[in-house]
This record gives sequence, structure tokens and C-alpha cells, in this order.
Amino acid sequence: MDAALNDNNEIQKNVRPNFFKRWGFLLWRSKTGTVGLIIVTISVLIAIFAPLLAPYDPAMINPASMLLPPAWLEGGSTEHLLGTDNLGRDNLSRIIYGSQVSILVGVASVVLAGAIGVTIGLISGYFGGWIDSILMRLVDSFLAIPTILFALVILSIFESGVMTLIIVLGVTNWVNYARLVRGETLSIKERDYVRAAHSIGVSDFKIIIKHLLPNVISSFIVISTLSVATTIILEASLSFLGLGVQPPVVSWGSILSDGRDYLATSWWIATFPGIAITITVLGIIFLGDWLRDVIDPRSKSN
Amino acid sequence: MTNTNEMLLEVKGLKKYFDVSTGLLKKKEAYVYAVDDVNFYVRKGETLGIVGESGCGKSTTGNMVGMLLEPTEGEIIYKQQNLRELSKKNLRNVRSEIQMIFQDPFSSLNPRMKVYDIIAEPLRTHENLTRKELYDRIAELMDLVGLNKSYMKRYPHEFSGGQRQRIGIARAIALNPELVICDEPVSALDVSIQSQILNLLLKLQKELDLTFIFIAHGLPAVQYISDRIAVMYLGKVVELASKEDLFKQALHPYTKGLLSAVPIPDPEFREEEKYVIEGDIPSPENPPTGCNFHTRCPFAQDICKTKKPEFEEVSKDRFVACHFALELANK
Amino acid sequence: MSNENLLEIKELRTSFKTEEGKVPSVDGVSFQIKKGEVVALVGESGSGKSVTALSVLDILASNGRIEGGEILFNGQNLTKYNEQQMRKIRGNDISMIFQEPLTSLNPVFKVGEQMTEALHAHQKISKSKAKEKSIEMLDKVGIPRANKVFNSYPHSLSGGMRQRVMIAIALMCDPKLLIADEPTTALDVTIQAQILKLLKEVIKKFDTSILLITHDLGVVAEMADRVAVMYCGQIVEETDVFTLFKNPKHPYTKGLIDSTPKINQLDEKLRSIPGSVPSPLEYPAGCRFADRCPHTMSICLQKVPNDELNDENHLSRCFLHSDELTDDEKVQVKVN
Repeated sequence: MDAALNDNNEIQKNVRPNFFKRWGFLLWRSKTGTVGLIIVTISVLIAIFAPLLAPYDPAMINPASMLLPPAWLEGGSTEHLLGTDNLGRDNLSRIIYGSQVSILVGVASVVLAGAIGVTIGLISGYFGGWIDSILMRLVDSFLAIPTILFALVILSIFESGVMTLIIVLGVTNWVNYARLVRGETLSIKERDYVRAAHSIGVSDFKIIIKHLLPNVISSFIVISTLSVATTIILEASLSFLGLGVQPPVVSWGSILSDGRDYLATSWWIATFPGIAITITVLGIIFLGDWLRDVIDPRSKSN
Repeated sequence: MTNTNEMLLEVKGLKKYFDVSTGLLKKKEAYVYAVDDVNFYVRKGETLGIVGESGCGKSTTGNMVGMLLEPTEGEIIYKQQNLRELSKKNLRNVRSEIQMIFQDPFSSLNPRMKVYDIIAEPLRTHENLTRKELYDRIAELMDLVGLNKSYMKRYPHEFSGGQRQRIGIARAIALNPELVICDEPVSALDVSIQSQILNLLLKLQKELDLTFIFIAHGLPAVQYISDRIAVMYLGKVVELASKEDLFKQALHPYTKGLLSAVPIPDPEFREEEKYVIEGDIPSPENPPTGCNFHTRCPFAQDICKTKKPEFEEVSKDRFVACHFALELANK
Repeated sequence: MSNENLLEIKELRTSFKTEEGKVPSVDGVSFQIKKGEVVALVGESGSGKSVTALSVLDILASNGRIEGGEILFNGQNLTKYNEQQMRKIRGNDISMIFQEPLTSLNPVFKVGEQMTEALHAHQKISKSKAKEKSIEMLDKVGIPRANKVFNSYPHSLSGGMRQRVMIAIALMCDPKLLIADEPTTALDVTIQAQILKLLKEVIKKFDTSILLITHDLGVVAEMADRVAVMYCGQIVEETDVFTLFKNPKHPYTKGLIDSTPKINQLDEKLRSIPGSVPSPLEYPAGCRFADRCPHTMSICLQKVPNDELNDENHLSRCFLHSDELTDDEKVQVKVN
């Protein structure tokens, strides 16, 4: 049938949309998305190049310059732009180094939680039946435990440190992904292309890897950016409670915690890491919102 | 059309009940009688059309024959072997011989796979081909369904509905199947594209010696492609006959209503007296007793409310389930 | 049927803003509906038939805009009306039935509440009077036990019943024009037959004009007095229903008729229109059907055909029937 050949001409001219142009357009149209992307990029760059950027060693104690205010206040010095803490450590350097732990813990724990959650969600949703029942009861029981309480218990038993933090936060968060991915799986496994794969005789494992995973991963990415933000806050809370990283390692949360006692007199110690957290989290949330709009295929029509 | 007498598929007493019981503690038993005692056969090389309105069980039947759904009861005999009793290994072989084409050209192709990988999937699953052989086979298949092979590396969203359906067809015929179950393959397409796909299916049937089960709610499309037509209503086949017989004289009152309900694209026929079936299709969860069409049948008598009519062969290759089929035929 | 135009659309242009650019969905559409007449707009997806209907009531999606042309209803130009004036027209003088009766009825309100709502919006009428009128209307559209249906929620009704309710709501204020956008597409065949029968009765009983939007030539043949065939946002052929089916002039109309399977003609080979509808962002320079047409001439690729009156009452946008072409312009071009 020559019908089809002509059918093909049309496609050649047309349908392939320019990938970069499209994303560029979407980014341009969304101002908050652009802001988010810039903030996140800068934060990550600061974390990576911390040793080059920080003027001092964050752990260096200097009794000669204790509790110095920021440079623009009376008594401040340009040597310590954001002032110093009670041990004379440079506040700016500590915030720069602190970004490493905060962002690492945020990202790594989400990756860990994602790996567990996506796997369990896929298995649970795809196989259904008693497997689903058992796994979902497990999820329910995890959901019933308050995250922070669970973290408190684990961290008071095990030695606290960056690794422990990552594991604790990862293990408490996977349930969200498991539920999300299970739901998506339930709907995708009813699609005709999955049924087509069945009718061809494709194995379950291959169907999960080739048909389900690529189609659930986008919604996972969207949710996970947002949860990097919440995890950074959670890490800060744990460190603030003294259950996070131990000196000499610094995180934004631990600086906040250290500055707590001096809030009345030397407000800058706690305020600046607080601002760093706020800005970074906002940036990530903006980026996540934008990603959600872009990845959702329904958004293509507007 | 190579209409031999060789039987390819036989379906006997096929049933599928979906459990919709409610309540956690005090269980109230309830079933949807999606397919309820369906019998038919398909000869090699022919096309059996299955037509019916929503909820009649035509797609469920197709899914059971395509081994996507486990029947509640009944036998599906393919080449003298009961599919429900096959060993895993034999089942795998049969799977490559029975293929499906789906209704929605958008949901039937994985949006994250390229055309090449979509068509390659059955070949990779069942055959050990080298890279070159695989490429050549895919190019050949694309040519066969009228797609330019330069589009192998594209994603489904770059194609129109008709072209996507062609991709789905290429996937279905990749393994040289015997039987292809077409589940409403043109319902989602525009009129001018529908006929392209119908003609493509007819061409492929001739060239590849395929047998089709063609499921649709639209009688015109089914009529165009089928040799024999089974009319389903509420989980049962009410009439099964050759296309010519069915259109010349429908025996079942439901078939008559269905034929009369299709608007004819010619205004000269508009003033013709129509036989419109009144009322709604009853829920398959709670089908009527006796003949399940009696609630809407203008000819229903007392016996129809109590006794289920048998699905009987009234003449060669002509089956109907109605107590008064032969009497009504002469009316 | 009288000779007075109830609705007259002149050179209507409606477009949508999208990521890829401005999409001209309706591009210079003109037609008229007389009192008591049923006019069908027929076309495939993307032909602009539904957008034309939505433009009449000015209920386009937020990124759509009427760019030009006039919509004259009883001589009044609706494109000049503001939102408040339009609201008086909608559901009162012109009402609409949609394809999907499940989504066009609000699931949280009872049928009765949705029916009387339309009445209260346009008339000063007491509650009991409104109820009485609603039940009477439900009865007229063939709903058994109208009293019970009045007090039930949409989800408890079947698809056919819901469409009947929609029609009843549409008829509540005695509209002069009823726009039916694919009113039977979502329904089963036997139910479709019931609804078509009902619509025919409505025309007789209420003397309403109907603008019928459909892709189904069978429904057109059954219902319409006049037919306008749309392709790529333009009307390519317009005439009365008998002429259209007996003597189609435009190759697209012919193709559409030839590719529709008919149950009264077994064993007839279907022809298909090659290719698919071009994207509205890349319409060809000349005739929009040129690259799918079996009769393409060289002029078709260069010039846009106007809608020509072939004879009184038969309009077709095609060069085939033009007498003023040079031999050069008539050279056949093979496009597919």
C-alpha cells in the first residue's frame, strides 16, 4: 500500500520535537524553575569545591578571635566575613564545609531510600497477591513509627556519623517510594504494552526492568528531589538534637546546634547556616516543582 | 482466502467470573459473569469476527484465548492440545504462535522504547538471532506493514495513531504466528485511517496465511474483515454464522436489533422503519434469568424468562441461542 | 423549516497558543443554520469541527481565542458580546450536549438539582414549578420513572440514561439552537439508535435547530439536512445531505465515503485515503489536502483553492471543478 509510504513522509518533516529546545523553552517559561536550578547548581559547586573556597580550616580553633561579629557590624573584621563562633572558628568556612555533609546526606539517603523503595514497590505492585499483602503490611508498620523517633532510637544505639545518618534516613524514607511506585506499577501493568509483552512470552523480570522501571522512574525523580529537601532539614534537626555528625565534621545542622547557646548574644552563628538551609531547600523545591510540571506528560498540552 | 476445513482453535464452555465480593468480615459473594459458557471454533486461514456492545465479554474472551487471563472454566483447544493443560515449555511455543493486536495505539507501545526495540522484543524472547539477522528481520517487518525502515530509532510518540497501530501489527507478526487476536484494532482510529489498517490486515492475512479473531463493537468493520461472525450479548454468544447468512437473515432478535441500529451512511435509507431495541444492557453482575436478552426482547414469552436457550446448530455452521429462532426467522 | 438564518458564521478564525506556536484550529469557516434545520459538521480528529462549536458559545480552553470573523445569532454578532451577555445566551438560547455524559454531569449533585439550576439561571420560577417542569422534561426524553431519576445521582444511571438527562437539561429553557458534539460516540450501538431516535423526535416536537458535530457518516446520513465537511480547519464541501452522498465533489469527501465500511454492501473493497492529516503548524502552501489527493494538479501545490459554488447550494473548495485553469496548471502531479 502506497498509503503508508506517504504516511511516512509526513513524519519526516514534522513530528520529532527538538529535545533541548523544548526543555530550554520550559525552563525559560518557568522563572522559579530557573531560580531553583541556579541555586542548586551553586550549592553543589560550593560543596564540591569547599576546600578551595573556604578561607580557613573549619575546625581551626582560634582563642584570639572568639565570637567576632560579621564584617559589616561594629567589631567585625574582613578576615571573618560572617564572624566566628565561641571557639573562634570561621563561620563562613564552617558553612561552606557544612554544605558537603548536608547535601551528601540529603542525596545519598534519598538514593538509598529510592533503591529500596522502588524495588519493593515494583515487586509488590507487579506480583500482587500475598507478596503485595506482606510487603504493604511492612510498609504500613514503618509508616506507623514517627521518623524522628525511629532515628533517635537508632542513633542512640549506634555510633553516630555520616554513614549512620545516611542509613537511618534512607531506611525511614523508603516506604514513601514503595507506596508511590507500587501505585504507579499497578496502573502501568494494566497498560496494553505490558499485556503485549505478556502475550509474547517475555519473562517477569524483563517486563519489570524494561517496561515498568523506565515508566515509574520519572515520578520517582520528581518526588525524590523534593525529599532531598526534607532530608536536609531532617538531618539538620537530628544534628541540632546532637544526634547527627560529631566534631570535627560539620553540617549545617550541627552549626545551628552549636550556635543555639549564643543566640541572644551572637545571633550570627546560628542564623547564617539557617539561611543556607532555607535557600538551598527552597531552590530544590522550586526545581522539583518545575520537574514535576515538565515530566508529567499532561503538561505537554498546555 | 484459504478457507480449509482444518480446525485451528476450539473453545468449549469457556467461562470467566470476576470476584467482586465486598465486605471484609461478612463476605457477600458477588461475581461479574463476564464470559458465561462460550463456544466457537476457528478454522485455519479464516477470520472469525466477535461483535457485541460494552460488557458483552468479547475482549475477555480474546484475552483468555491470548492467554492473558486464566479462564474460570472451560477448554481452549489449539491444534488438538488443551492450552490449560500444557507444560511450561510447550506453552512458551504456543505463545509465539498466538499473538495479539490491541485497541489503543497509544497505550499498546511502551513510550520509552524505540520502534526497533518494540519489534525486536518478541524476536529476542523466542529466537536467537545475530545482530545483523535481527536488523534485517525488523527492516523486513516494517516494510511489510508499510513503515519506512528509517524510523527504527524513533520513539512511539513521534508517530500518528495509524502508524503506531502498524508498529503494533509488526510486533504481532514478528514470530510468524498462526493466530492473531485483534482486539478492537481500529476503534481508536479516524475513519480514513481505519480502512488503511483493515486493508493492511487483509493483505497480511493473504501473504502470511494468518488466522484472525477480530473483536470489535462496530459491526461495519467486523463485517468488512470477517468470514464468520459471532454476536455476543452479556457474556454469551447468541448467534454465530457466516457473514452472508447473518446479513441476509439474522435469526436472533438481538442480532436483528444490532443490524438495524447501525446507521447506514446513505441518506436514502433514513426513512426506513427501524427496529430499535429499547432499554439498557443489564449489569453482568446480575444477569437476567432464563434467556438473558428477554428483558429487552420484543418477542419474549414466558419460557424465555425461566429457561436458558441452548446454543444450537440450526443449519451447517449456523448457531443460535433462542427458543424461537426458527419461528422468528420466517416473520 | 423557514428561510430565515438562525445562525450565520462568517469567516470564523479560532486559534490556540501552544508550546510549539500558534495553532490555527478554525481557519475561515462560514456556514448558516436556518430555523428548524439540522446542519452536520463532519470531519476527523483535528479538523476543527468541535472548536467551531465551542467558538459559537465562547467556551474555548483558556489558551484559545477567536481571532476574527462573525458569529451572527438572530442577527446579533456574538463575538461582540461580553461574558455577561454570553451567559444569557448559553443554556437559554443556545445549549449544548457533549460526547461524554459521565463527565458533563456533576457527580456530586442530584439530577434534579442540575436540571433546575439551568431554569433558575435564566428564569424567575418557583422551586415547585421548576421541579414540575424538570420531571415533565425527563418524561419527554423517554426516561421511565422520571420522579425517581429526578432524585438520583448521575452515577446510578446508565450511559444512555445520562445522555437523555443531558438532552433534557439542554432543552429546559426551550433553546433555539442545540449544539450536539458527538452526542452518541461514547454510546453502544443499540443505545446510539435510541438517542438518535430521540433527537429526531426533539426536532419535531421542539422545532429546534441542531448543529451536529460528528465523525460518523452514518449518523450524518441519518440526521442531517445540510452537511459541511471539514478538513484542517476549513470547510472543504458543503451541500444538502442527499447531494453530498450521491454526488460528492471534493476528493476528501469522496475518500471519506469510500473508506467507510457499509453493512448494506458486503464484499465491497474499501478504499483508503493515503497518509494522515498534516500538523496544523505545517499546513502545505496550496491546498491542504494536496498531498493525500488522488487528483493533485500543479496548481494545487501553489495556490489555495477558494470555496467555489459549483451550483446553487453546492460548495467545494477544490480546483478540479474550476474552468479557468491554464493547461500548465492542470498538469497532474503524483504525490503518493
